[in-house]
Amino acid sequence: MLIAPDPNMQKNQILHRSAHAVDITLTTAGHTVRTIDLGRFSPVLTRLEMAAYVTDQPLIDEQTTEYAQAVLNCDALVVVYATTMSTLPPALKGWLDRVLVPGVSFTLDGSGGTKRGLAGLDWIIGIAVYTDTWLATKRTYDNGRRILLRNLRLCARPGTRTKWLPLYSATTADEDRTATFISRVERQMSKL
Amino acid sequence: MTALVVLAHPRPESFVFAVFESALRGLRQGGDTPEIADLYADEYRPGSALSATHRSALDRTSTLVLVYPTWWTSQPAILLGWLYAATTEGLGSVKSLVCVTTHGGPRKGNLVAGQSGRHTAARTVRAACAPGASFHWVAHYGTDKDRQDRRVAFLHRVERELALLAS
Repeated sequence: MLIAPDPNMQKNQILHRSAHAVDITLTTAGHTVRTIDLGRFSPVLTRLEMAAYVTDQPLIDEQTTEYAQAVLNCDALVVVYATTMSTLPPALKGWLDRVLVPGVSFTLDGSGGTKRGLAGLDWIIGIAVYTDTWLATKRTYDNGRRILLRNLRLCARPGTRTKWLPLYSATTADEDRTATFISRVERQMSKL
Repeated sequence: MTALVVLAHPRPESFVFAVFESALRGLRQGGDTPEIADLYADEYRPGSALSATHRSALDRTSTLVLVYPTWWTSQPAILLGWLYAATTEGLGSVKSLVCVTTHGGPRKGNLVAGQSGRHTAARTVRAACAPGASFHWVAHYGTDKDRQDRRVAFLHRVERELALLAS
């Protein structure tokens, strides 16, 4: 499963080349790739969804229900995004808010605790493009990475593997650096 | 200069809304006349620019108060979108940034998960404010398994801390 960047908010060639490389490499290896285009997704959790969040049926929208089913059925979640304000872009964060609700990413155990919900995930892979340098990114805590590799990882089974593929200082990346990065993405995808 | 209180929660009957009202009470007790940006009521959409009302309120404010529920250890998407637009356009008048937030899980669990929302506000959003701007974190943890008395105590705490900030 591939979550691709929103073309309206992130006119970023490196992101689109990365997403394309993921798609082609996985498809060529015989995997079925489901791509989610965040440009067609409203990131705002609605009043009705908030009311439904604490019920047995938290998914009340056809699109989010279908995405949730796709997440539960997939083996690998590959997220491609451009870091915005040191964290996930609003479109991607909204996707987490609206799709990964109770019953999908976690279940309530009846005593107020939670159980992991994403038991079928073998891989969580983040492909992140940064305008900042490595040092500046670390100074602002790289919050998108924290959400995906810590918070989301805690919703998957203990054996789920993670991989982070970052491209720092992307605005100054020339064709050589970009091509090297895309090759790295392809190599990682071919390992799945 | 007045405070601008930004609310990012869709339900007026929620605990976060009660927290929002406590924040307003506290600011008024401290002598402030806070302005409000209710992102859901004002139908803000992430990806769009700030409305003229929000922009002019931001230009007048020295204290920016964000009231929101923490989801996935971070701000809701509607608030992230608003903050992105606000930081892009400029937050130069803001000398004090305050986050008032609730967490479903316990404090320890949020520390393990990374506290992304806190870092985004304290580092990235504050960096767009006036030089030397202060940062205040007023957080409630464990809302999912909460007792009524703990919630009431947090509402009093919010009121007290915001009154102190405004005075």
